[in-house]
Amino acid sequence: MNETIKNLEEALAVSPDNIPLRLHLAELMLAAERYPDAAGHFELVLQKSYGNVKARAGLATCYYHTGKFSAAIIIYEQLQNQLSEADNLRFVKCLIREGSMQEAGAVYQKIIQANPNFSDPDIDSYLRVASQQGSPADEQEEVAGGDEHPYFMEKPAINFSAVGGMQRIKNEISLKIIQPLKNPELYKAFGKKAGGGILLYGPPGCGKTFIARAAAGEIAAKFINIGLHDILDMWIGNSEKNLHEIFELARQNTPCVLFFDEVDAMGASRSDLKQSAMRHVINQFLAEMDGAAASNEGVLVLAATNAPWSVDAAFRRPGRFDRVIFVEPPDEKSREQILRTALTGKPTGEIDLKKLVTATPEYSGADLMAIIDIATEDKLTASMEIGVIQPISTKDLLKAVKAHRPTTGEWFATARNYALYANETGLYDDILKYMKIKK
Amino acid sequence: MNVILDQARLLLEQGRPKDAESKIKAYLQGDPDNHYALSLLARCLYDRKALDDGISIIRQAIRIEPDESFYYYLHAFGHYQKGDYPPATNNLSTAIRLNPYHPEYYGLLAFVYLADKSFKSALAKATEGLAIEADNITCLNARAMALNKLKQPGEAMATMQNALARDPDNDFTHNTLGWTFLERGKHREAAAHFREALRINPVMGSAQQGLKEALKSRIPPYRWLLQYAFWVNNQGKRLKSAMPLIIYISFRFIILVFKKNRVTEDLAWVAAGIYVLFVIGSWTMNSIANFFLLFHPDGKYALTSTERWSAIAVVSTMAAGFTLISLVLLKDIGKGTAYEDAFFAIGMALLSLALPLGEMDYPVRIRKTNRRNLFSVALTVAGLASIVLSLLIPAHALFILVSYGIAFLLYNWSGALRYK
Repeated sequence: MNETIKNLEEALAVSPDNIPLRLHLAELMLAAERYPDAAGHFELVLQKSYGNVKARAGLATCYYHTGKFSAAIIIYEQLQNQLSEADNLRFVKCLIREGSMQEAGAVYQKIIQANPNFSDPDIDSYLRVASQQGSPADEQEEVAGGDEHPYFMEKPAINFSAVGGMQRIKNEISLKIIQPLKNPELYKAFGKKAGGGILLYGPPGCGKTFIARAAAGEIAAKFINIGLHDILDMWIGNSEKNLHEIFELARQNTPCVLFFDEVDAMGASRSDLKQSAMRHVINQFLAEMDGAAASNEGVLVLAATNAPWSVDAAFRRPGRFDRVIFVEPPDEKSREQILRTALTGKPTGEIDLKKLVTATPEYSGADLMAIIDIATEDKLTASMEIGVIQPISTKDLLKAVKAHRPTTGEWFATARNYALYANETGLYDDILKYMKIKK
Repeated sequence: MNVILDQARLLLEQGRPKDAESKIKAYLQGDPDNHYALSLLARCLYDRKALDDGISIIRQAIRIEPDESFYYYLHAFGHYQKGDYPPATNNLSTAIRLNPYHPEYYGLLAFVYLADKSFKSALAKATEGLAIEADNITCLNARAMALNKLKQPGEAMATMQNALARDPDNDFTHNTLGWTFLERGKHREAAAHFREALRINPVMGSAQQGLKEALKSRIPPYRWLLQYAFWVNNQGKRLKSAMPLIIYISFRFIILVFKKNRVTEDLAWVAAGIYVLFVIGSWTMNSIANFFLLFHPDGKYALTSTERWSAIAVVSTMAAGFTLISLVLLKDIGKGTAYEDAFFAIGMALLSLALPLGEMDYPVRIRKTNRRNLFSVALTVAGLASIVLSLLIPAHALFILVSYGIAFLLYNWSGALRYK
């Protein structure tokens, strides 16, 4: 497919106004999961052919895959009856992710009405999770209150081999949660209890979610990602019950990695919390982690936060998040791997990765992707102006490095203060070590 | 309440103003006249120091809902943060008129009066707030600070101890206590409270600054200058700005009196020396104290990059200048050579460089910078160039260095212009 894409790109360079050709290229890129590139081409098609349904649906699909759910919803809403079943399905998922449950239900009903035999292995089962677990009375309550909280469960296709560098973190996760599952007898012989959780912390964009997903893939476990939106819902809505449902869902689908992203939103230091509702959520979470009511065997709890200082100390007690791991910005080896992977499939000249790696200390994975995006956009514009594909060069990437400063600086400025003034328990020793501060 | 706004409020309370802001902005697209959403947005903007934008947004909320006292409080808060005290006072007066039973309104008003140096009014408002809620931390802190400024340290301390007894883990109270001790010259006690404030809230800028000042106050000349700065700061605006002139005239008068009497004639030199030391000290003492902080286990990390490099640059040039002048005066170096006069003048030029080097930003920038930095860089370059030229053409050394001296004087006189 890459060869076809390359040929089409060359053809488009000669006739950049060829709409069907560009649309075809965008669709091929979409199929090749090159979502940002595909989105770029769909947008160009829409500039020349406003309202093109295929291009709009394609653009929405790109947005869906890149997590821009709100943007996707806007397009899907405009297209309404012109959507395919697959598009409608993505529409439902977007609506669920954005918390628009009623609308999601309505679109889902439309899919089922059009195709009564319709069944999606993921969505279908999750939308029914709440009703399967609750009593009839509960079901009534849920329908009335509209409090259904389906959670996406997936089986990640990636494992640790997809994670560049980060060896220390991989080893820690392996020792704590992967090996106990793979070698239960060995752990039993040493009297080492499996379980508990791992809290990953560090600057944003450094791969905390990615490594959690890879950890699930490593043991072929299911993966449930609970994001900030879900956590906020817990605080406002039917909180304790929702939290219990999540743990129950994981317990019923072992082995399962339960991943709480931005967990600080839940565990914000209890002294800060005035509302009793918030305290209930924390207490419920701790009870679920302790496995007070049901066994958590086979349930691996991972959490990530950019603000470990806001996480309640009770979360870090033994049996809970008793391993706290600092996910630092990628080291040289990791940066090289990230850059190499991200540049694969793009028209490039001779790239001096070593030079780029040297120029990007403290850059997060997300920053590196942003650099490549900037360079790609520049080259795309230049290619359109000249009519010939302009390959990305080291110089272009270094120019992009200058244009995009690392976003980790702000995080380290705050983290430094915590490490200097509030490190009684040694929680931030890794930050001090990374920043080469000797206290 | 709307779920999205409820979520935004939670995010704001959790210290996630960016997340809250995006939610509120999305919500406002559909309901642009929701005054509650606007008030939340103003709080987010304040949080990221976009004070003018925040004030403009809260004004919109007030236009829609003019009877909500809290919006006037938020409006006042923005102005207080900006240092615009009259509008802050007016808005708080309106807030109190609409709701006279909210102690925080009195607390903030007391802080506005404190910042405006109306210490008696501050004490009165803090006391009014405490009459509504006896353990209100804002009012207790404002009361203690007002009492301290009104020279009632005993009662101020008792108020602070009272506040700490009610809430021992309050960063705000520890910080206020730290500054109170520092103002009274008790740097050890001050440092202990600043450390405690930072343990509770490591990102508290005021406590970080306080700890730095407390550590530097271990050096007696710095401590004296700091006491002087506190005293000047507590005076009225007119007296504060006239103080350098008053000191200069006072010294001139003392020197004149000493000179008139043969017995005290020599003391005139001592007085002049003290005055010169005072002036040089006020220019360079901060950098010198920062230099000593570089060798302190906590202090070295408290300094910013600019403070660190400024300290090194100032102390290095001063040391070089003093060494050269000492060698000329004590060892007669350069005597009988072409550099006979040049070395002493170069030593003076090196000493003088401490002033612009102490005011410069580091790393040195000449693009996208302010006037103060630009003037300082220019004088440093002129100073270094005159030193090099003097060494290369010793015959014209005096002329070159005197030219630089004139530039140095112009730099000093342009103080007000630099800070514009």
